Amino acid sequence: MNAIEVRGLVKKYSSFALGSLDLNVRQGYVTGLVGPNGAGKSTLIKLLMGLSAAGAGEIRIFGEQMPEQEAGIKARIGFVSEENTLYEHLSIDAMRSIYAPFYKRWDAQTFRDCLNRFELSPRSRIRSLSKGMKMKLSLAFALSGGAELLIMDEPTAGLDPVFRREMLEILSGLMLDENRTILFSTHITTDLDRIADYIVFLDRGTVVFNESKEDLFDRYALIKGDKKWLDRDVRQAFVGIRETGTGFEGLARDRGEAIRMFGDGAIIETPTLEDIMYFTVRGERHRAESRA
Amino acid sequence: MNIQISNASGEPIYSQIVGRVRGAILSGELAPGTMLPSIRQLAKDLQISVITTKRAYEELEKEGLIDSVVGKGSFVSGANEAFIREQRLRAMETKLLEAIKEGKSLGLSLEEVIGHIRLLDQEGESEG
Amino acid sequence: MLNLVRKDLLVLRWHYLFVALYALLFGLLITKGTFILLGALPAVMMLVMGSGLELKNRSLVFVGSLPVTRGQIVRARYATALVFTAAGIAVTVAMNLINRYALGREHGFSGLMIAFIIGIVLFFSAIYLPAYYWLGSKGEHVALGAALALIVLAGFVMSGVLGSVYGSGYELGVRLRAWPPIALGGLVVAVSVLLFVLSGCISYRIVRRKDLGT
Repeated sequence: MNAIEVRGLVKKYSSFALGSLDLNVRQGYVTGLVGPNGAGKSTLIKLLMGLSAAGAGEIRIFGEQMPEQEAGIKARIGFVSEENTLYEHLSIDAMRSIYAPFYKRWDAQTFRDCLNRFELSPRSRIRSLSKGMKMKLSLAFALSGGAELLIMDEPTAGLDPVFRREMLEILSGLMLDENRTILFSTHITTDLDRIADYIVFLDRGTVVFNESKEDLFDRYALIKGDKKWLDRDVRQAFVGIRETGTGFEGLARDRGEAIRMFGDGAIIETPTLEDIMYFTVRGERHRAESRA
Repeated sequence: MNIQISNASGEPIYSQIVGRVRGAILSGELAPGTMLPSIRQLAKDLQISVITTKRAYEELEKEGLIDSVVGKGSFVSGANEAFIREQRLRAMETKLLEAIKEGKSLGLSLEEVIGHIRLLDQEGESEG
Repeated sequence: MLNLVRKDLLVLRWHYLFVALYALLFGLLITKGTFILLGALPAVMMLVMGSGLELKNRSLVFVGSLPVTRGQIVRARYATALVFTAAGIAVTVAMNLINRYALGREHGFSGLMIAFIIGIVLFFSAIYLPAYYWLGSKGEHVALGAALALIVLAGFVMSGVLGSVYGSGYELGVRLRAWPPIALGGLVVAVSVLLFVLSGCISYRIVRRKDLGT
């Protein structure tokens, strides 16, 4: 079952174009949206939330059409934006009194629990909160509306490691409920190495891949070895290569093939998401340059 | 049941889980019929993805070590010890076959391969 | 949609104090001709302060993420403008009563004044809101400046008209004097309501395809 289905989605700005995108986000799992800055992550999320209007294409969330059914769909979504969008001049409690009536399934107990857990006082003025606290507060609001789908844009950007860990703990706790779906964008891929089930990798407005993290880690291999191995055929097996004075490091497209090719002649490791992202972007840029 | 996983070991996380649970079952630490934590609970506790734990459980199921009942959860299989032992023997045989094949391709006789195994065994004992 | 109106009203909080203070001060210093401004300005102030807070907080993103449609967002904003208009009228009536009974000053308050207050506020909203949606944070100050200048001008013109209808001297007044106040008031209200509705349609067209929060 897909919580989100995107078909042929296109969005054009004067300096940037997204799409055409096809994408599924599976229900019951954590999907991480990664990509370098400017890849289109935020644009995609704005389109999904109906904050931006698509140039072409179709978005279905819970099987219903966006933006035609937007009110019904958004009632089931908890949204955490990259920047604080809550009213800075209000207290947390005043903000709650504005926010809560919009959600039929608002759970006052959950909200109180969240505030306690995040050590937030209902009387605090939102303006006085640190960036991390504001992010926690947004999360508390998003979680208390009874959301089935949590969409978050860079929720961990600019936050300290302690809070990032806490946040991942909260998210993995949410996934005990198999009807819940989480989609979040980040450029800090270590957040996703562990808890993400699926990875959508965007670069320059297109989807490079969209698959389960297990498959990714099985398929790719990180090879480190002597530069003398790198002839033209061998290079073909790599997504991207970084050569230095002491040797090379590269991401091989196919783990099995790499093992056959190098055997004991090189170090073969399981790549991290960051490795995959880095070499993919590097390789693409390189190919684009050599074509030009 | 205690499960520790390492991010630094290079061994895939799912296979670490499989190894740990398998060890616990074969050693008798987990008796037949014992309920395992649900896939989602284990994912939460280890803070890893649901798919990873799912894959580990599927692997264990394939090995006949656990049974999953839809809507109830996963249990240590009631399969008897003989069955489990057989499973392990078969796994060992596969690995031995590989070693023999590799030995032959290197031009070693069967005796020489066995000699290597003896040697490794002695080395292993003197080290450990 | 009611929740959106409620949000618009709750967001202002202590800003109401400011409006009340203004009404009190201005209301006590009032002279006959400026009674219309007394009622129109608070309504306009509240509308402007409300949208200013929205822009400052990038809350179009917030509002856009709520379970509401774009149509509801626009309708709610216009409904809020109506609530503020009513509040403006209430302020005028209250200050008039205070003037008359507590201070013993008679200002010749009439239904025509209320019609003119409605006219000014709706006229202002009709211009300001589409500009607000169209220009967003980039041009909000321009929109605000232009709209405020317009309303003050309109206020004085209408005060002038009113003065001339009942006083004498103005050419326009001479011609309008022939109109019974009820027809004049009705005309003002009708035209402004028409503009207001038209403006709502324009705002909806703008908001429907707008990228919120970019």
